[in-house]
Amino acid sequence: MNWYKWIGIILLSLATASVGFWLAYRLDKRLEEYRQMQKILHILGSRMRMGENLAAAMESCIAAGAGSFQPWLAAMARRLQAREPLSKVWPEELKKAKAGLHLENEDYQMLEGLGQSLSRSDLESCLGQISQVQDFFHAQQTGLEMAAAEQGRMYRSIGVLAAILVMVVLA
Amino acid sequence: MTDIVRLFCLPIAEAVSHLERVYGDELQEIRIRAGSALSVSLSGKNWFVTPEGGLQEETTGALRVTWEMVQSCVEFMSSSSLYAFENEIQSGYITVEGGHRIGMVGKAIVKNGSICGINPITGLNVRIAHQIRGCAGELLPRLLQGGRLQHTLLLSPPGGGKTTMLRDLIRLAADKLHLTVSVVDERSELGGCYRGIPQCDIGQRTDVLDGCPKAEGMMLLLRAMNPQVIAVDELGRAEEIAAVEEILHAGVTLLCTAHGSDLGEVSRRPGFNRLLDSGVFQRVVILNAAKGPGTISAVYRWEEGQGYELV
Repeated sequence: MNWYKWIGIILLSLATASVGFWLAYRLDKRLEEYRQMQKILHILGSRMRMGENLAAAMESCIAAGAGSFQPWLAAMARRLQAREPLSKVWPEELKKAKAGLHLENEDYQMLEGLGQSLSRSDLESCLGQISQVQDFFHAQQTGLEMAAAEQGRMYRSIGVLAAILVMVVLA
Repeated sequence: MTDIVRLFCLPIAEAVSHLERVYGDELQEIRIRAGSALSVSLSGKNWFVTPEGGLQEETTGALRVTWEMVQSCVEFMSSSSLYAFENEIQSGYITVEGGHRIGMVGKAIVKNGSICGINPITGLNVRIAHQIRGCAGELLPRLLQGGRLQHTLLLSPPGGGKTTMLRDLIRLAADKLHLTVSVVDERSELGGCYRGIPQCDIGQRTDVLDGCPKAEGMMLLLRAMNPQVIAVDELGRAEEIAAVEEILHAGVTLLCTAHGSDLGEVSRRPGFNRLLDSGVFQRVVILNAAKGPGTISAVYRWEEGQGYELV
């Protein structure tokens, strides 16, 4: 009976440690994705200003390093080149891409809104929309950076404490 | 013309696909107007189109175009990048892959008295690019003297086939006469350029300056591309005439077109009278649509001291 109790304690501690480290990892990834998204939007805007079409602008973003967003951009560029409309391609591919990303729901909503306006607007409106989304992601990044300093440490501490507990129990 | 169907959203694409299969090159224009029936122009005659691609003179039973269909078509036509065509939209049209020209109407956005955009776009006119290779084959020998291509002006009323004829002359000058030709294609009509690349066959020795005003373009090409022939479509403005006069002294042959049904009419237009009275154009070709666009009505040769004489 004792054995079961100890196994339970060990598993619980390991799970707690994993959750702590996993939450800290997610925070780091989300922060990284906010930075990547701002870089992508910057390149997208400059390429659009140069008169490149969206598929070519997306490829330029990939070439400059799009990190976790690369599969999403690549899939969209491929489908746009096949003359599928952006209003269909953008939401469909964003939905698929969510599995590999760590953003929040409000971030995805912002991106969905951007996709709706890019395909049918003039350059000024497109760039205005891009700039607005860029500002949004910058604000998200700043907010998260402040939170991450505290939360990340907390998550990791929980993980470390749980690991120490396991060691003590095993000893 | 196989790429034309890809410009339309589904209900229209199905009808156009059928028309393309049945009528092929006879299909000249496809008109899409929000709230109206889909219509096409076939060999100069207008028809309404049923959802199955049938033609009829009545609107009843024809495919009704919605606002959403127009917006979808705009998205397909611009490869979801309408912003990239902003400069062209200011002129009222865009040129897409294949050289097809799409005229656009809707609510014009005006700033400082000039159109800077159209939003929303509610009507489209797709003019299908047709290249008639060899249509200038009969004309070319009449434009040569001692094996040298002469300065030539092609005249015709709108729809008379002067652009088609000039395009083929450019191709022949480049490929048959082995001349280096430079083209100022202000409205993307000659080369049908898409992203700067000519979609029409205008010869292997031809450089195209696309979307550039003619006067500036001619001077730029003269400086930059060392052409033997410069070709421009629809001369008319004073600055273009001035650029032509300057080019004449640079040893470059000119191939031009202008609106007009005969020599007398054109010589009354300001600027042209000076060019024609001094015999700048050694050949003047009058075209009309009597036996289809590009019918050669007359070819004039400049004879020193005698003026223009029929060849």
